[in-house]
Amino acid sequence: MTSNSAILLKGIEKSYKLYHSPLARFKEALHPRKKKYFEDFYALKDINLEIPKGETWGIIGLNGSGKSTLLKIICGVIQADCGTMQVVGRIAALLELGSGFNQEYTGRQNVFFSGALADVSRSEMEKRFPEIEAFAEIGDFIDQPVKNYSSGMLMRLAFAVAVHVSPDILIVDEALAVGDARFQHKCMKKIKSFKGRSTLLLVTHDMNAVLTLCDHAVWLHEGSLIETGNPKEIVDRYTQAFYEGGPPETSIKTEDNLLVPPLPSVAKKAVTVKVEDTAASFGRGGVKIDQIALFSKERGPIEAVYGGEAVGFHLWLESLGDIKNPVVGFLVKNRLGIEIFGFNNISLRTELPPLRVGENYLVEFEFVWPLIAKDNYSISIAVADGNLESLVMHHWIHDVLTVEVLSLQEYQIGLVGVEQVQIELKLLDAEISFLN
Amino acid sequence: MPRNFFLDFIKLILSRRYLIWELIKREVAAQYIGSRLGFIWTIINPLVLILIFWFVFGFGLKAKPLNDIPFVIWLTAGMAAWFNFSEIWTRATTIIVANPHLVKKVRFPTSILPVVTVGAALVSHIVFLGLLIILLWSYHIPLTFWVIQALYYYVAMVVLVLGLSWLTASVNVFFRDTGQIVQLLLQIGFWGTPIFWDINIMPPIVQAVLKFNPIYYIVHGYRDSFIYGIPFWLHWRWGLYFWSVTALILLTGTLVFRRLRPHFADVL
Repeated sequence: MTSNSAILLKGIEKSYKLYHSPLARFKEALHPRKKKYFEDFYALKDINLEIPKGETWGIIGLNGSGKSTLLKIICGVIQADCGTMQVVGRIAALLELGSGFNQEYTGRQNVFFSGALADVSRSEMEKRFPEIEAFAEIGDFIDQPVKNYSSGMLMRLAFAVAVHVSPDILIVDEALAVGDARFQHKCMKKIKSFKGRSTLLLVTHDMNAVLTLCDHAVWLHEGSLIETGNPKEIVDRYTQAFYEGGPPETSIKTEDNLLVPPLPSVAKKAVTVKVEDTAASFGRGGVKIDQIALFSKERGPIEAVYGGEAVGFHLWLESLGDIKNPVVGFLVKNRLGIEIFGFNNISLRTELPPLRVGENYLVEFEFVWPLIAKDNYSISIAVADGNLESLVMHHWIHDVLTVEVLSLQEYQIGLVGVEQVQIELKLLDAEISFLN
Repeated sequence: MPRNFFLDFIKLILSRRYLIWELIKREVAAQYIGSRLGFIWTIINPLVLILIFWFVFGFGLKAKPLNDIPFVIWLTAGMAAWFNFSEIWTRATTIIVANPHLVKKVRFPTSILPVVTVGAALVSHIVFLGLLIILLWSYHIPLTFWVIQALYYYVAMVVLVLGLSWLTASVNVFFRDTGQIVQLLLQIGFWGTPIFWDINIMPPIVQAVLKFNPIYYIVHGYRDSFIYGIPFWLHWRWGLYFWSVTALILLTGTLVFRRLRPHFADVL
């Protein structure tokens, strides 16, 4: 272990033994010759990681990929079956909401108890208490039993304690998802102040947090470490694999002993969404939209898109009747159903040639994805016949595709981002401005 | 290896004494949370019990004094040791399952939990011993220098109960029946140990067998220290036997605890 790594994991494995009863587990634990009484379920397989001091790492993966198990092993809450682990320094962990808090005790009592758990002395905690209280912003509730707290308050207090016991390693498991946007931002700021001083380990489904906070990303899938590396690359490949339904089976073993899935090529048959006839669609049926695909010019088929990225959006049409003046378009809505942007060939002042019965067509839109707030958006698509005055809808499908929009900006105000903004502060000389 | 466990354990207790102290405070406070009289209950309960003894055996049954010592005093001295032992063992057996949030959610040295029980039970023990001393004083029985010897017997009892607690607390994580079994053993132990009755009413063979019960060594020792002023080395053979049994229990307890501990978070 080099002197500047905070966490070193070698060949960590954790199998959850599926015992038929607690008795079997008990017998095995005490068996003199270690007889086995279980069937293995591998939660973690051969995990090798070295996290240097002061870095921020993000762990991503689907539910059940072993992220939380890994964190619990690093925290020492559960023990790995084999492998070696070295952790240097004091850990503060936010594994679950208010973990370690006693429901019957007041916030104040729990703060001091958490300090004792983290091995911080009473006098030291007394010094830090005002800061913790101020950070948590729960006001008079600090002297109320924790059971009366809302989940947001509990989270705020737990977070405030964890960051104020000056841990060498701070571990946060999806905890940032709670709290309003302003508090989340405050947490982010606090976490950032840790960068360089403490080692940080985040588990999150929020790709933006990984992109904006982390120096390194780790991708876990079904207990195996798929890849570690630059957050943007990992997030791209992860979201793409997610879209394709899991990481590619064929993977290359590199010298680092990391599994690196091959880069997908755009030339491959585009990953598309087959459009089924569902209740969420309507129209006359003269044209049918068979499938659609969204892809990045650089990265290929995608489910997550960056603001400012050049993308293509394709629609495959099957004409069941003659369409004289086809109108094809789509609409992007945010989670609240507010229409954010969209276009069709009329709005683009482009006339499309008539569609003939029985033929198949491909409509290609190409554009730069606007700088909209990071969130999930849905795309609705439509094909109609006519013009703006009289329009016959042939096929309209609501929310056919969900797109996660990512942003490389970590903080954006409002629904829309703006490019090339300049801000400048000028000192106005009172005399001159008066003369002018 | 077990030697490492003990050494590490003592280091652990010393280094985490602030945490242990906080946990003891919690444990004591938890008993009185929401009650009006709070801590006063710690005094009321043993006081009423001793008053009942005094009334029943002093006036009602007119129990005969043993070696010129009033029965109620003889009983209270033995009872003090037994109550403390049974309180610790009962609580410690369930203390791991009672604190799943500490086992599963945070980094926490589980092995100190029985120590916390010992510390929390010390409060009521001291109250009980205080009442015993008042009782001695009221009967004009002088306290001797040998009272200090009770400390030796207390430590002996703590070592024994820690061994038992590590064993039953860890097994209880897997089988919740353990708590019930401990209750049953304590019931049998209470009547099987010469606490309420004098061992001399038994035939010599039975007396010899009864001395195999390690708790009786403690009960007897408390009486020796508070009442009779008999030094413990006068029955050194018995002491040797007690420490052998205690060492065996402690070894078993720590071995089982160490083996089962990695599974606690998974089973709870």
